[in-house]
Amino acid sequence: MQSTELIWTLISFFLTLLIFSYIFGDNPFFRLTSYLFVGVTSGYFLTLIIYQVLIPRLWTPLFEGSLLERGLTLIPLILGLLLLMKVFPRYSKLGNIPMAYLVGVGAAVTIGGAVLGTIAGQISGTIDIFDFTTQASLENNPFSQLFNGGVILLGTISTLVYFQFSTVSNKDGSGERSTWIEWVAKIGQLFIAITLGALFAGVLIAALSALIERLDFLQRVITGFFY
Amino acid sequence: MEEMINCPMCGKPNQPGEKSCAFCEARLIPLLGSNEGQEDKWVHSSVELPEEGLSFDHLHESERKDSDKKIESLQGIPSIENEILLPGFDVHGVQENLLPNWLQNGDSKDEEKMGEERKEESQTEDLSSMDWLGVLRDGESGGVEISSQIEEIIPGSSSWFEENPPEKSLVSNLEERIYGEEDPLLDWVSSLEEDNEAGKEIDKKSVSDETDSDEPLTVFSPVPTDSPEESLVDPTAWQGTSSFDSSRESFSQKESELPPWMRDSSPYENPDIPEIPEEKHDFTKDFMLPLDDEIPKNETSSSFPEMDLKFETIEPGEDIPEPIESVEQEKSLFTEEEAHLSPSEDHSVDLETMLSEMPEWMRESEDKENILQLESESIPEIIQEHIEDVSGTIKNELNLVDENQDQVQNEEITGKSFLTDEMAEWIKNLPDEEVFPEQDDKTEGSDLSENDVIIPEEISKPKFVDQELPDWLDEESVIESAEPEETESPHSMPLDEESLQPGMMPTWLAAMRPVDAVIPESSTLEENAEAEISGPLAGLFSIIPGEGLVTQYKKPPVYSIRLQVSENQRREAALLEKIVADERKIPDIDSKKARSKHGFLRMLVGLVLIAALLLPLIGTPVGSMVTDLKLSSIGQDFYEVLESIPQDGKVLLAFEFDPGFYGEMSLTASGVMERLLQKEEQFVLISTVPTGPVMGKNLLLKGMEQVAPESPEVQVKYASENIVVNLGYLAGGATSLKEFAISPRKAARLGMGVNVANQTVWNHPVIQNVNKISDFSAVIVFTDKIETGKAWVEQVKPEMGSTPLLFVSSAQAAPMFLPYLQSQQIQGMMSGLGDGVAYAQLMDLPGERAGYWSAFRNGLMVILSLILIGAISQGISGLFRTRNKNEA
Repeated sequence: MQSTELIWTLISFFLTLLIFSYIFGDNPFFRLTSYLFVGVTSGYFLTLIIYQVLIPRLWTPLFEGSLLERGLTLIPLILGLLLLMKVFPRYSKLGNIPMAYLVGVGAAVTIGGAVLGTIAGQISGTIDIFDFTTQASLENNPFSQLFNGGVILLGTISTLVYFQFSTVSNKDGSGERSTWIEWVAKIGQLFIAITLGALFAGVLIAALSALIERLDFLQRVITGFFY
Repeated sequence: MEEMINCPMCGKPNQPGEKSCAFCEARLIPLLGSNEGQEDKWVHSSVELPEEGLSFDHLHESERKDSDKKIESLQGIPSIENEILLPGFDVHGVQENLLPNWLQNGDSKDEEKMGEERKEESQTEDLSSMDWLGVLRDGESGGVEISSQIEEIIPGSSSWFEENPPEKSLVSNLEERIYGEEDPLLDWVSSLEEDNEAGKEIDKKSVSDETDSDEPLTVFSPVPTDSPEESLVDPTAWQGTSSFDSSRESFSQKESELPPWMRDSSPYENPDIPEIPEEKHDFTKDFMLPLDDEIPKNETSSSFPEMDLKFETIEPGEDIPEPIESVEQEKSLFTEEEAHLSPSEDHSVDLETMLSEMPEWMRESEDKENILQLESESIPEIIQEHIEDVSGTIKNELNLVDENQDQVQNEEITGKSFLTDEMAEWIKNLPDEEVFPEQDDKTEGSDLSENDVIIPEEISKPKFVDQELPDWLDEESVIESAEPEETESPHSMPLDEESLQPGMMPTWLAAMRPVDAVIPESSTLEENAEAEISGPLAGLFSIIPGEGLVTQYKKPPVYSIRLQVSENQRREAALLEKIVADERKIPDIDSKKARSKHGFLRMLVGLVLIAALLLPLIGTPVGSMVTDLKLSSIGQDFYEVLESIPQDGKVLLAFEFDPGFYGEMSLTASGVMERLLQKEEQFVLISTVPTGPVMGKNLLLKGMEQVAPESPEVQVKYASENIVVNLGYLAGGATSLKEFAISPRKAARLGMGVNVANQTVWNHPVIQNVNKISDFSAVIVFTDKIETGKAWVEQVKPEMGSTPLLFVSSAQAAPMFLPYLQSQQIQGMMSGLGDGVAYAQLMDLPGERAGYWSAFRNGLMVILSLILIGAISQGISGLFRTRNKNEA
């Protein structure tokens, strides 16, 4: 084991032990490690942004690029300077221009991707389930495929119905959803609960996997010192 | 021995011939010109009345018609003229008597503040005028007295009188003109002449007493005697009562005989004699100075308005009502004056000559009027208004007197009037306005008397109004009596209607007219509007009826604002309110209690979990295989796609996870990395997460360690970056991913660790042929977040074409990627420790994954056990709690 690797292994070992000290409650060691992690991450982010964003995307084109590149680089430079004005309340309105640009472009990209990549893809995938020709070519059991497709369809519809809150008002001003919508909504509520449970289980499994990895690391380091 | 000349200013005697007073340096000789003879005549004519033609009977008849206002007419005459025309008649006294008792009382009250010295001066001046008249009445023998008395009035005139002895008194001239040649009271006059000598003595004595005595003297006391005949006919009695008796004893004796109201009205007896302004004396001096040779016609005419006064006498035996009203009192005054003036010597002086010979100071009388007018401005307005009313009445009286005069002329009773053929031409040619001054002029002339009687400013309107006005001062009666005469007044200027042009309103003024003036309906509206009956706005029209509007409004009905909610909704609302309230609360955390309550349990759970995890890690032998684990169908797809990647293919690895998930991601992705290394694929690393490139590099090195732990060549190959290109961090999130999917060279121009000054990363041999995203053999995304995985699916997958998109996901994000797997947007996915161990077991990869899988299962068992224990314990505690509540 090289010396540098040993040093970084020991640092990792002690920092892991300090994090595990949280078993005994909140303590300065845990907080020290947390603050250290946040600080190192911020420093790493700054260094990464300088070397990965500012130098290759701003400095180099502005001082080493062609005239066209310099001219085009002024646009993000000005927008970036205006965005810095958000720090100063007196000139914060100047930052609205780059913010508008960022929000507009980001919304367009996200919405376009969501429509084409998620909604259209999900609708197409749900319809394909009931394409028995395709499923027959895949040699899947058509009944099981139909059942799976029916569950997916029920789950999709019932979940959408659950988030439907529009009602017709009664004479006394109150409004209640119709009975069949209430039943469908409850089915959707069930699907939502299963989904959230699956997500929680995934988080638990992810955390358990991380714990296993760290315990294996500690076990390896400890066995390494003795063996 | 020549008589001493008394100074008109200080009254002290001076040596004859001196021009100025040795004591006060006042001028003793008037500044007269060369026409001394004319002035002499004027003086005599001005102070003497013609003896002929006096007819008191006629006077009685003419005066009784309108006797109530006869005395008041004197107020319209300038005072200086009164003094000249009626010597001995005290205008101040008349005015005081004209004033009602209430006004005199007011005066007396206000004038108590005046000094005694000033009072004496005013009385001395009045007495001097009386003495002067008395001397005039005595004829030529009284020339010295005349001069001395005039000297008091007109300083410097004594010497002038000495040089020009009076020939005929003005009073006698007036009587001659008024009553004609015949004198019905000739006996009465003769009796007066018989007693004239005695009168001279008395006058001399009175004059000497006046000049020497400092005490106030009574000049004229219009006191009705017990016998009217005696007082009116007998000149001796008149002299004894109303002449210049200066002795206090005689005055007191007379005063005792007076009724109380007369005592109050007597100006000389009242200690509150109105103060005579000092300007009067100065005025006398001033108008004496500018003496010119010629008399301006206008001023002279105004100084001598045509007036013939006829005095009423009371017939013997006629009863005088007791108490005598003020007007009646004035009647008796004039009667006494007639009796006083009647014994004057007969001096027939032509009036025209008299006017032409008028001294210069008399010509300045108009100036005096102007000055008096200025002085009258100091009089309160309300007094002036009454004076104007009275002066208007005086004007009417003058007109009546004129009419009477005309009647007398028609009856050829009187001989000559003022305006006769004998009068100078310039007087005849004078316009009527100048001969008969307007009412205002007479009012101003009356101000002279007002000036003598200073009405203090303290006489305010309320005090004036509070007093009961006498009938003769009643405004309504005066106005009613004056109005018809005013319309018939010859002095009013006739209006020539033809000469008057119709008024033309200019356009700019017409444009400025108010709208109300143009709209005729406004007046109609005002007429129709109802007047306010009560309240502070009573009497006003067009008032907004606020009271009616108020009464129209009623108390609004009370509506229930209680929300109609069900019990369930109310409970949920209370829960929501509690949650919101708890969010705002800052709970007091007691660390000791928290530790004592949950610390042991937390520590117990942690220690149990660690122990369950460590035991398989420690106890599992190295190289053991997991036999009961099979790869899922989704993992099978991933495996098939990954195996379909050609050797030496260019695989794009996107590391989109944070360091916190490195342990899980390393266990899941280690088998994939090892398989890719076994296949000697070329790797291009990229990440939209800042820590992604580092995580990818570490994961790649760990895989190399697992694949070729004992093969330095492989490590050097990968370490030299000949087969690995790290594009680094791709800033911009989904937007940059979109750009990278469209144009990878532009989006990730510089790689991590590449000298950007010399070359771009795209010149690297691994990716020099890559121009678009579909040029990669496969794209494998290592992610622990749903958003980043969706971004790759949404932004990059549409640009990838047939290039497979594989996901190595964390267990927490895997459920959200399953729909994309179902829709074939993702060709394969591996998630969690189980898929990683299964893929490695499937591929027969070396490692210690059996221990991990055992630890993972133990850990899941502990967690499930703890959840089950907690649920059971909570259920039991709840069951006991409910039972206790039921028992309670």
